[in-house]
Amino acid sequence: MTEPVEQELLSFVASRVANGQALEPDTDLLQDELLDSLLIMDLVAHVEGRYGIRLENTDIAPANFRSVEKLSALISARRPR
Amino acid sequence: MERPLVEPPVPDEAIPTWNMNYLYGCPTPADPTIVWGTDVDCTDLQNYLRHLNAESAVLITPVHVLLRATACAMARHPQFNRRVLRRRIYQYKQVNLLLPFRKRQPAETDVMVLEQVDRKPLVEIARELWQHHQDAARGEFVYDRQRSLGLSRRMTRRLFYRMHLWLANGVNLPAREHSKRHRTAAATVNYFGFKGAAPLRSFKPSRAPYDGVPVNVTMGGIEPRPVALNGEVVVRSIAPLFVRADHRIVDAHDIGLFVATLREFIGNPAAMEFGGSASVGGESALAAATAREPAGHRPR
Repeated sequence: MTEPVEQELLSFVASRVANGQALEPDTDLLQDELLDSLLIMDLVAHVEGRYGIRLENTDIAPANFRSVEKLSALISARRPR
Repeated sequence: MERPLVEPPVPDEAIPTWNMNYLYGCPTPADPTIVWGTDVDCTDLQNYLRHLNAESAVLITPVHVLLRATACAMARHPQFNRRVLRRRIYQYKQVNLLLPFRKRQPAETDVMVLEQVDRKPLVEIARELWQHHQDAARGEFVYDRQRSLGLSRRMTRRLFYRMHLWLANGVNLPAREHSKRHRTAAATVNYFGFKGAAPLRSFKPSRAPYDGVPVNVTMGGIEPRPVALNGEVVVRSIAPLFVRADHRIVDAHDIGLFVATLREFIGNPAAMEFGGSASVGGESALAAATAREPAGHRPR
């Protein structure tokens, strides 16, 4: 079952990319060229605003933005418990 | 000798009103702007980015490659790194670029200055850009609007802009932080590959009121298009590319060669990084993208 954070992020990204309804949590956003600079900054702003965490420059890395699943894992690791 | 024109001239009564506006409202149409448009095959660029992003600690996009390619092309063709000041041509000391970008709050375009881009590896360019973007998203970016809105009266604002332009276009003053965008970069770089944008087929970059940025490099979104390759029609990833330059500084021959260099660097970024070698990927691509002195900036 998809986690709530993952589901929310999936909807966010799906609404902003072409053919978004086919997007899966593990879809490789880089391989499929679905991310552009504006969308990345939208994602950063969305994550910071919604989840109350601050992403640093070094967080904008392929390892974190490769898929919704990866980004969701980053958020979970950073959120206060 | 016969005069080539009919006397008397066409009377005003015979000229439509809208044409009259231009006739009496515009200066003589001497326009030193040249625009050269072409297509770039970005298939290898996309492969290169896939390899790079598989290893890199920072996310690298086509914008970063476009910036570096422009800077390396300007280093190879230094006559493009010049400006006109009081009807004389001056060389810039370093290859700096301007990058307009879209901010969300407030929703408007701002411009960032990137310095010595030909000397920076791709990874460093990417880091710098992400930092600027994040600063802008958090409202930490200083921009002219704050300055101009600080001048509350319209007349004061107009005088401020006129004086600012007069200084930028006529005086070789040292550039302070707020005037760097008018005085330190010869080129503006646009990337219009954002989602939702219509496919770009033709583009005429505007010319800023300040004279210090005579070159504009604009690339549109990368899209699959049919092309003829080795006698076969195949689908490749193609992007349109437009370069605007100033005929007071360079001519069409120079622009043709500059665009060819740019096309070569964008189309094969590995060659740009390795100074002409064939396409590479994985660790070697990353090594090049993080190298302090990549080969591409060296003038030929």
